[in-house]
Amino acid sequence: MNNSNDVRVEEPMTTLPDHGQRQDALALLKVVLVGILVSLALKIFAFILFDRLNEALPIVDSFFPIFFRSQRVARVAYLVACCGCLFAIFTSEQRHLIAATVLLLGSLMVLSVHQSGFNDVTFMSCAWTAGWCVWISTRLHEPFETLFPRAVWLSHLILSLIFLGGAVGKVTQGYWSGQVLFDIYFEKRDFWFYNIFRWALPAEQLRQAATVHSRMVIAFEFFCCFLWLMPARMGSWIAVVMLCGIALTNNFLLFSVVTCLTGLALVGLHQSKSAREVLKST
Amino acid sequence: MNRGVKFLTASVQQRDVLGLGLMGLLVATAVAAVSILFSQSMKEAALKRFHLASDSFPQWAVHQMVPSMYNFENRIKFSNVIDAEGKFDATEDSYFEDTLNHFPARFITFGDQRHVFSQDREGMFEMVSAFGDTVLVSRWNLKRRQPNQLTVERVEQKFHRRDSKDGVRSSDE
Repeated sequence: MNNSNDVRVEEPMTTLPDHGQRQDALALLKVVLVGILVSLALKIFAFILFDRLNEALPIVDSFFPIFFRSQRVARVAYLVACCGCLFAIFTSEQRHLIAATVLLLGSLMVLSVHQSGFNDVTFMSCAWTAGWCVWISTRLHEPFETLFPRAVWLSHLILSLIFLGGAVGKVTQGYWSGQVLFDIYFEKRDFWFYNIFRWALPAEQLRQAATVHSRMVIAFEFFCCFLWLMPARMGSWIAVVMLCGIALTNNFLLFSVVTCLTGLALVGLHQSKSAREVLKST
Repeated sequence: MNRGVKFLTASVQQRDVLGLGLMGLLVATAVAAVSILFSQSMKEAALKRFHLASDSFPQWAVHQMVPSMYNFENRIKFSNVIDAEGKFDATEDSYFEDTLNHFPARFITFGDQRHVFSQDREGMFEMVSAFGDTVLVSRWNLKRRQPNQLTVERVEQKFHRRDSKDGVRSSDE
């Protein structure tokens, strides 16, 4: 019974998702979790090697608190991240998913500021991706038609931030002139992409190629800062191509960094009856 | 923008505090990332972050959220000995220099490089990171206080300005 003095409070949508819709939401989450697990798995041999080295000849740097210098902490955080991710992939219970993804996020955050892991962008990109996983784990009760577009946009916002961080730090003469990439890659890196350049071009043209390549990298990274403004599927395709392109043309080891992000990009390419209906209506 | 507005509207309708919070965090991080283009203090903070020289560990840890792949111009030098004027001798056997994509301090903290230069000896490690007209030079003295332990001693940290021709112009700090 309403009268003019009643204050109308907009209620959140209470329609619960049907089984199929919940499965769609879970599918989005699982794809991203698999991406994180692959990223972490690709690190395992390097992690074991560096773990042994750090144990044999530890670095004592007072900048890091003892907790974040301890190799045991790094070991436990890495194991917890892998186990939490694996568990989340195989469970469908919302409470378990929330707990597992929070654990995953926490352990990745520890690794991102740990003395033996801070420099590894894999942990940072996995941490941002895990943040998205925590969020969607808490939204599984939501109707898919409102959840899906939001999940895609949030994934594009995260990807845009990753590209933005890369692009902004290259606005400096060393990258604009191509000198940095020349020193790191064109001059000596034994990788198919750069080997072709060295084989095909004389020294002077090789230096010019580095300049062109470096400027293209900056331009593409800035372009990808705007994934969040692009149509959903287009943004996802561009992100997938760019991320895979980075690893394929620079260093296969970079797949540990880009696989979790590729999983995030795949969210926008999700195809199901529910997703198609949502995309049609938007 | 349309998708962003829809996100905001739907999140408010759904009372999705976490979603809005995550979005806010992403926007704040993006602002922090872009601010190095306009703010000298943020630029210097970002360079200090790369040299593990932030004012405090918590500040550095918060800064770690900002993605920074292949940022800045980073060069490192190492030698077991330096001359009386504090200069590296490029002809010295142990001398080496290299260009790194990011986090130059990782040369000491990460990987197996430390075994290459730490066999029974100490040395001077120098990092130079540049962004625009600002250059940060840091020096660490590496000591083996115990046979199986490498200790980092920060001996120098200076900001310089450089002109467009890459010449170092003046010292700020």
